[in-house]
Amino acid sequence: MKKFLLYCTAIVMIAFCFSFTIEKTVDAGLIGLENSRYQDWDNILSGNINAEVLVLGSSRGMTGYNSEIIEKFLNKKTHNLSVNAGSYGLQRDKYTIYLKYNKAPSIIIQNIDLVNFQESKRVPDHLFLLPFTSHEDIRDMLLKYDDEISMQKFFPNTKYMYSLRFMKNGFNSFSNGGMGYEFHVKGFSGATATYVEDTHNIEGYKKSGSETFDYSNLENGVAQSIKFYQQQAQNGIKIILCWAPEYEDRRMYTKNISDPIRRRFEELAQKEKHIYFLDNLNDALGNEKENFYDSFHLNATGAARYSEKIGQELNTIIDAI
Amino acid sequence: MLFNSYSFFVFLVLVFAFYWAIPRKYVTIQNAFLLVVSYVFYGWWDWRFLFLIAFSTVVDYFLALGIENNALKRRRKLLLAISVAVNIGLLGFFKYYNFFIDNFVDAFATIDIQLHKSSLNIILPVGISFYTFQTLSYTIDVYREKLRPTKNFINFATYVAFFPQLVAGPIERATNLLPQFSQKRFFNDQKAISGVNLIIWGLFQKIVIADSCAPYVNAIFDDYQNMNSLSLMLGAFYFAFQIYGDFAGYSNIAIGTARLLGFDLMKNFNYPYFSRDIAEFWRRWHISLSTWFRDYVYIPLGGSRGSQWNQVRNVAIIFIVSAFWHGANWTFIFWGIFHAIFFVPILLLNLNRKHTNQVSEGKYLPTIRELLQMIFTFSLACFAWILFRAPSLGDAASYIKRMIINLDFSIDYLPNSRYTVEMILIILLFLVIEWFHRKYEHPFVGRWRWLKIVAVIFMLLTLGVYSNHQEFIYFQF
Repeated sequence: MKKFLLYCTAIVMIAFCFSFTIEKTVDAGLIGLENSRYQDWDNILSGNINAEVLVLGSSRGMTGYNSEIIEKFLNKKTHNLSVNAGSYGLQRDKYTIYLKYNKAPSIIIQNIDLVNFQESKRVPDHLFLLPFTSHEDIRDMLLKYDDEISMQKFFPNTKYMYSLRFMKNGFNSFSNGGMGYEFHVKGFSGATATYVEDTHNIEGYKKSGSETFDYSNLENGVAQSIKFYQQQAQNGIKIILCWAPEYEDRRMYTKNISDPIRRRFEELAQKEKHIYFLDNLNDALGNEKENFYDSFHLNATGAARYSEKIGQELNTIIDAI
Repeated sequence: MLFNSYSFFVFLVLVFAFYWAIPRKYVTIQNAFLLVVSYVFYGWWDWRFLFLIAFSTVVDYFLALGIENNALKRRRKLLLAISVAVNIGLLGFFKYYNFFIDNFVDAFATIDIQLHKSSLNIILPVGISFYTFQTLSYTIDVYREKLRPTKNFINFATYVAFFPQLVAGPIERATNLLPQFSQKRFFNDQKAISGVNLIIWGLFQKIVIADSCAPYVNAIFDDYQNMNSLSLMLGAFYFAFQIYGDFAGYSNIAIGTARLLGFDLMKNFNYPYFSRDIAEFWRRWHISLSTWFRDYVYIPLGGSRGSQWNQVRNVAIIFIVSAFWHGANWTFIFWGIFHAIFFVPILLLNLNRKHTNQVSEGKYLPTIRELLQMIFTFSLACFAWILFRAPSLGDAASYIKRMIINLDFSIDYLPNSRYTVEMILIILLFLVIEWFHRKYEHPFVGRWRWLKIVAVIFMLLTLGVYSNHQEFIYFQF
């Protein structure tokens, strides 16, 4: 039995050592990818951002607000902290982690839309957090939504064993000099794709009007978000709520549905000193297909134009303050 | 629980620890412990399955004793017939009821008689095809007086439900496995180490080879109408390795697990893709099933004795019946027919026992002739696998037709970026490893065995597919 147990121990040790080495190598490789979401998270956790202006939002925030362009207009360091496919809860979580390691901003640009106020049931894009799962704050955030990673602490590299593509990218990073495959600069991911109609996104709204749309699943999100904005405003942070342009094919169905929500934020902006609402839902940018890659996501061209517009509007607001 | 899961790993460690903690003089207690854990293992799938296996166990235990205790041949035959009826009846009901009803109704529909289809929502109990055949072999061997029936119910029940081979084989013979439950088991370091090595190799076959091929196979077979000839050929090629890696991997893990507990199970695969003809292929593929059919169906039918017509008839019956064992679908039946068509010429030319030794025995490399023979036999097997994998005969026919007439061999058609040259290289590496170790049951032998173990563990960690656990293909049988 002794010889057998020693043999098994040797096998387990070999597997463990390999796993540990592979995990650390892949972590380092992924974090080293230039202009990647990994590098972005690494900068957040290393306290390297300290932006004066933060953009918060979901995928529309990430693809619609070009941090570099906004920065040029405002002459203030700007970073896009949006969470792809993450609604208000996840955005708050990322912001909370950001504040732990970076200085609080003086301005928050918050992208809002109908989808923003739904509950997040999971962390989409959690695979971009793989190199950081041993980081306490990231673990806690992930565990709030999914306890799958709780098994990973028992054996190294299990996270990559479930995501071989990422393991490969991590290794390849060393051989191609850290050349990334994303264009994620200052948190902004410009999409180069051209417009493709996303019927599935519009279908639900086609059947509803403002009388029949179910607002109940948004109510909690709206209320919590308003509370959050008020808290930040009390801390002296200026909150700029922005409703980005949507393409006319979608807008014809969502305009009436979004009216009650937009009115609430208009009222909020009128009531609160440091909260502003820039409603660009019906902006002319939304009439041109070339600005979008689907009915409510600006592509890189649209993001550049919209960011310039936002930059000019913000300049006026900031001058007036 | 799947063999390649954390839960099975924890289960096995606990079973191993408690099992060997029982003093070896208490064989019955050890067996009882194995019986309990085997039922836990089986009940993990669905606790309702336990009633079936218990029923089959009780029936065959008493029938075997009845056969032994009856001097009258007619009565012994009747008891055997009851055993066959119960086991085949269970199998027939759970596996084939809907198939027969559907085909019965469809047949009448062709002559414009509409019958009401009352298909049942029947769950197929995992492993039923395996353990019913295992218990049948017991009663048949008792009838043939090759074996005395056991009076120890615990031993017999454990033999039926023994968890390493319960759900997907090897289909053990009572003459081999049952006596092992009566003997004291002595822990043997070498045996246990070889068990661990087999488990590691089995995991490699399953997780690295089979599960890597699976998504690619699914992508091609699900969308074959839009694939070119090269992709369709690769689909069949990858499926050949998916099913081999899956099934041989499972068998190795089963054999290795049994060895950890001091038991010896029969070999189930013997490098079938190195076969020089189809007859040899069937001596190397799913050996426990093919020998079962040989001993309990083919030989009683007359085997290869008698006229040529009888031989051909017997071969056809065996291939069709064993194909039907795999599942209630015409694709399996036609898969068996294809293999029968490949086999019959060899039989008629009396060449079916030509290649009984190891290919290129004592040599490093095959001759050109041997290589061509292996490639040809493998190609035949791959062609037949299309039928095995396709969801229907129509799909299989369309797949084969498109594969032959499309004639586009551009590599751009491959749907999944991972599975281009990479996958082919992994499979070729696998074949090379198997080739140079075809004398052994796993590659961890010789002077460099530790290096090989390290390399395989590294590949398990970096190339294995762990997400969306792929079930073993043969669990559906």
